[in-house]
Amino acid sequence: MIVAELERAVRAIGQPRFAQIWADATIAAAWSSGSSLPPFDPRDPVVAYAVRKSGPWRLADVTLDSPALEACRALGADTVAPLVSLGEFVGLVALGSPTLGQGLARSELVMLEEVAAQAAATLRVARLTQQHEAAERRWQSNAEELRIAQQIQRSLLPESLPELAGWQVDAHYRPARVVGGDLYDFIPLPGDLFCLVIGDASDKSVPAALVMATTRSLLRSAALRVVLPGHVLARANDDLCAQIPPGMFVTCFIAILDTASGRLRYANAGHCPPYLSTSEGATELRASGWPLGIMPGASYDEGEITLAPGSALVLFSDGLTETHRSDGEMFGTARIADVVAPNGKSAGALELILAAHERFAGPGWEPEDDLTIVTLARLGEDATDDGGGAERELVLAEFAMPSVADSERALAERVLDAVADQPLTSRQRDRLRTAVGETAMNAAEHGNHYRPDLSIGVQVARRGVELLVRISDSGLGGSIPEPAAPNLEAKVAGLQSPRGWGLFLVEKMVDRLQVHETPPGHTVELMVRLDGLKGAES
Amino acid sequence: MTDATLKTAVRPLSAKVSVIEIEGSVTRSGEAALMDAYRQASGDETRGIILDFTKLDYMNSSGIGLLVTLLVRANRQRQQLYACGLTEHYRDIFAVTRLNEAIHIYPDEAAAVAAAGQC
Repeated sequence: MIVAELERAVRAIGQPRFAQIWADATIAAAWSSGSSLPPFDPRDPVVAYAVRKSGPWRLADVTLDSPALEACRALGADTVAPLVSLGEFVGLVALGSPTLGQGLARSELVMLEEVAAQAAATLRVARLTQQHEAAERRWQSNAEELRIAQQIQRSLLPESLPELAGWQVDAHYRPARVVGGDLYDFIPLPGDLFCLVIGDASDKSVPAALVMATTRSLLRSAALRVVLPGHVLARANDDLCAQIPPGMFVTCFIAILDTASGRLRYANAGHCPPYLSTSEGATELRASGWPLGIMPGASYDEGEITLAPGSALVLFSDGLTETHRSDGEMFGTARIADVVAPNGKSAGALELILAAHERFAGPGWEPEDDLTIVTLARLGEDATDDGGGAERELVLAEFAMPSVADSERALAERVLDAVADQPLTSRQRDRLRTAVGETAMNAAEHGNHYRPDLSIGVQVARRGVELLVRISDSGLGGSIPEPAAPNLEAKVAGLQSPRGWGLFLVEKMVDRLQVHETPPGHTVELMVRLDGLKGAES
Repeated sequence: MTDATLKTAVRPLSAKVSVIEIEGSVTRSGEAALMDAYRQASGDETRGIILDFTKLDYMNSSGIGLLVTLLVRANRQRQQLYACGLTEHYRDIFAVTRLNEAIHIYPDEAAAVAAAGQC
């Protein structure tokens, strides 16, 4: 009992008739000493007075109109010491001297001042601690809420990607630190039909996660009952309006695919329109409708397209388009269109978008909102050529790295990460690592002259049994020489520079080395065969 | 990514044979360290220098260039270079560049020392 201790100290001063410490309301509640004084009013003029005029004060000398001081007088106090620490008022000591009206001796006043100073400091710290603990408790319960919300949300997302013959479905979900409420779902339907859903529940909290869970169930049950996507949304909307907390809503895009014919019917409840990539280019699929949960009885427009082989549908949440870079620019939708416009890689659209997003956001970017991307690609002959009847190529990774000295190792490791799942022997991996590193070194040094504004482009792809790594530079170094066997004897004899091993090594480490003109620079293409056939001799 | 520096430790085994232990990365930035180690390892009577690559983490073509520079100096001093502790990948690289014809490779220090003792 801090206050009791302090009162004992005060009572030791000249044996006053009574002494009480009257701490301000926030402390009195926790450490009441059974004072008969009413709760302290923080608006009392004595608060401002005490910070200006240090005590102790003889009450007879104080003319301030203060209910608090009146209360002290009424109790019989004739001396009051304000408790002020670091400019903060924390309370009063009210003292009645042994003989009424006599007041305290000078030495007693000095002691009182010292005790008051100590008491003030102690009580101030006590108040801070109490406030801090209350804030901690609030924070803890918030953090716990968020954890629960995250768990709920994640348990409702699909565990695996669906396998549909003739189609490739990919999904990428990156949650923000805070729960975001993104939703995507794959619902198999009878008769070769397949339903894709992407949505975003407004707000970030436990309520958003619960709304998302509810929405998911409503969509699933509606999709199993009605055939048209517009009707699915309408049913789900009516049910959701009945139970959603006021002010909350869910945007949602739904598509029902006939996996046999490629016909896709879709409807949209206020979600960002997805992109369709075909041989003609990239277009947005638009269909109007209110977000779910706002207007009961709302109806939803529908659209219909047919996905030809080689085309792809790209669904995403606004966590992607609203990514802000440090210079304030937004990723936006145009970039998606640029990336998914046909280039013979419809099945690698997800990787391309992720690479473009990574390049845009830069290192160290932290997402503010969940980022969800779902792609649906129809496999088959691609519209673009790749050398007459060539096999379809799947891009495994695509990224750019700065032309900085000694960064070739990091670049090579990224390439090795991208092929971690590919059937390479460990010897092939070591050799590929060296080949990529050497090529990157050349690109940085000779192709880009280590200019920080010129990056090295890297693409990793798989085409049948061939693994391809393409490394591009900006062509500052002129054309790339043919790799010739360096003459060791000449070098040892000091007739040639000790350097110049790079390109030669590269060729020896892979099964094929090709150089392509890709204005303004060049692209070196390395190929490693995955079927275990021996390529170049060791 | 591990630190890209080169650390060396020089151990003279006798008046004629020294060992240079190589740790870390052998790349362009390791030139000073490597040449310094060579100077330390190379006494008036040194005839053989063993490069112990057991703790080698990484070597690129610039590193090979450094070894060639070392070869040039060793040749001038009529010293023979040996290598031990190389992983299969780096033995491959030595073979592809024919560096193994000039720097003889042995599986471990003991074998290299035995060979060096013959010169």
